[in-house]
Amino acid sequence: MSLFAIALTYLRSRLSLSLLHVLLMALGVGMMTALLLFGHQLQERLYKDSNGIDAVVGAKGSPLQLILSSVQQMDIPTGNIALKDAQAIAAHPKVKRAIPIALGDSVHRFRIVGTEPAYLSLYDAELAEGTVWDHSMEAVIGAQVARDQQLNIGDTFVGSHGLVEGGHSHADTPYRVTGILKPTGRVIDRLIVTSLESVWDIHAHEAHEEEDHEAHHHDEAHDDDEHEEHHHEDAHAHEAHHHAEAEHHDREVTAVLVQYRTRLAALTFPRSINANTSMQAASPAFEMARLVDLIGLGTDTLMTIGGVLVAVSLAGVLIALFNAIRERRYDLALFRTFGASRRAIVTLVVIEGMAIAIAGSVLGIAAGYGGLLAIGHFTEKGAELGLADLTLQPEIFMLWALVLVISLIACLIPAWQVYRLNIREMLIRA
Amino acid sequence: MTVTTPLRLRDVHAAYDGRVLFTLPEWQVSAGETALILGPSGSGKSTLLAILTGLRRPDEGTVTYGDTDLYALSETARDQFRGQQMGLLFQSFHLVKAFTVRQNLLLALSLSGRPVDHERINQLLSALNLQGKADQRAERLSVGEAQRLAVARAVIGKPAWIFCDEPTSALDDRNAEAMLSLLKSQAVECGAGLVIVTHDRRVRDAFTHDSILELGGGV
Repeated sequence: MSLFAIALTYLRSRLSLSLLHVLLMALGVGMMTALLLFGHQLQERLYKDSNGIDAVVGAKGSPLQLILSSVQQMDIPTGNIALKDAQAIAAHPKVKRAIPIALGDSVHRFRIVGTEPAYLSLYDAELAEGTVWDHSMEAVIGAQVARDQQLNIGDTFVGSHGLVEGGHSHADTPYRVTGILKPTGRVIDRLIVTSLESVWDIHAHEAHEEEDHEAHHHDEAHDDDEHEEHHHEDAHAHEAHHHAEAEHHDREVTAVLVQYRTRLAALTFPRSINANTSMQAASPAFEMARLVDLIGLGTDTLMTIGGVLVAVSLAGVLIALFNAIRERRYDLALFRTFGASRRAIVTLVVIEGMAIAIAGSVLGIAAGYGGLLAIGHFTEKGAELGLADLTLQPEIFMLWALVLVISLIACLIPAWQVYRLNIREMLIRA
Repeated sequence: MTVTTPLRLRDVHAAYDGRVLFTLPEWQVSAGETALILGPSGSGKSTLLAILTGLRRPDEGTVTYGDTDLYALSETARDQFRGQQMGLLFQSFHLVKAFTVRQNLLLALSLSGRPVDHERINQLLSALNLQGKADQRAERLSVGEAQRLAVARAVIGKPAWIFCDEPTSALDDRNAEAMLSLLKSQAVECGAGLVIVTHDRRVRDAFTHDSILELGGGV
């Protein structure tokens, strides 16, 4: 019977208490694991998706909201800007490249982004099959969209209004899939990318339908007046012409993703936009750093709670070991009479404590990691954060090693008590 | 092979809190013999047993088993010697209650560093009528079963020496008789020397002893 088997037999003899200590340890380690992985994933996701974009120009409002909505595709946009203003930005001497985007519709939880083909190159996205759109109402879809929505080249799908599920459907104007992108591990995997015209057309179509509906009611009211009817037709044609022109002039985009010509532009370009236009320019790098700091405050607090839980569980294990030793000091003295050395008895106590620490920490890591993976697979927000593709980070193994080292030190305290046990006194007192 | 007989004490002196417990100029027990250590409470019987089993260094003198000076060994070597050569039986049995009957025997074998001999365990359980209780926890045994298990554990490794500390003091006459009979038979079977510390006259009456050491009253 090995020392390990002896320790396990003792643990089994007080199974419920042993399990409680394992669960307490697992809870603390699990929370710390989840927070570490979540923080890492969030940071990676935030920085990865904004890589290559120096600034975002959009409607005034919260700069963080502008970045989150236009780059990370997480938040609601701050508003729209005029297409002519977007074109002016593209012509700005400090701007190397300006890619406009128009948001507003989605398919289930996947956003439709109206933009230019250059948008794909921002994310180094390559086509797995098909081609980029040529006409309005054609779209290229990200790898995750294709997988989740089971869409293939030539398939059609219908968008719905709004960036969350539940908006009214644009059933009369379906999109057709012309290309499917290779997985990139970036936000574009979860996007449907189409031309700006598609987004404008779909909303222009909606506006016409509404106007026609109103006009139809108007016609019915004046059905018997021929003179008025003739006059009305003329007016209608005139109005349509003006409307098309106005539509073109009133065209809007949500934001413009900007790459600077030089690094120095970062110092002057945002200031010039913010001060001289009705728009704002925000830096993804700056806003992401600010967001990570803000999140950091929250995760630090939760990490502290996780640390306290681990400390409480370790204290629990320590107390349990002390109690076990007090209850079993006769057993341990007896083991010495069987021929077990002091070292063997100390090892036995350490194995018992470490078995709880190892089981609890492994269970905690598995629960923390598995929990995040499950959130990534089964929740919308989790999928958006890319939690389904989470990998274990070196920090987790460092956390594990740290927990085990602290546990070992904690176990050595009662073990030292055992080392000094006076067998003869114990056996006489029993 | 290590020669572990006879057991010999020379000029052993023990004191407790400055009070002399005993001084033994010379005492010897040979292989297969039975020796009784008698004396009233506080005479130092248990201290002498601890000295004989390597659990307490005498204040003066030597304890040898054959050519092995027990206290010349390192603590670890002495632990090993005890595990390999001695079987100990205590007044309150000291069974490991969280373990089953079989595990109690396995423990004694494993911790002494001997190879686990399942056949020997089964034989002993059968001989002591504990076969049916093999997988029962020790805490659920009756007094009779517990004493049989304690004897089984003391002899499981076929020790050269069996030391018993007041093996009958907590037992009624019937159980005491059964215990002594069991001890005698097992000692004979193992060819072991038997050293019993007791203040119980029933033990003295029951044994055909080869040696008696009376503490607090001279040898």
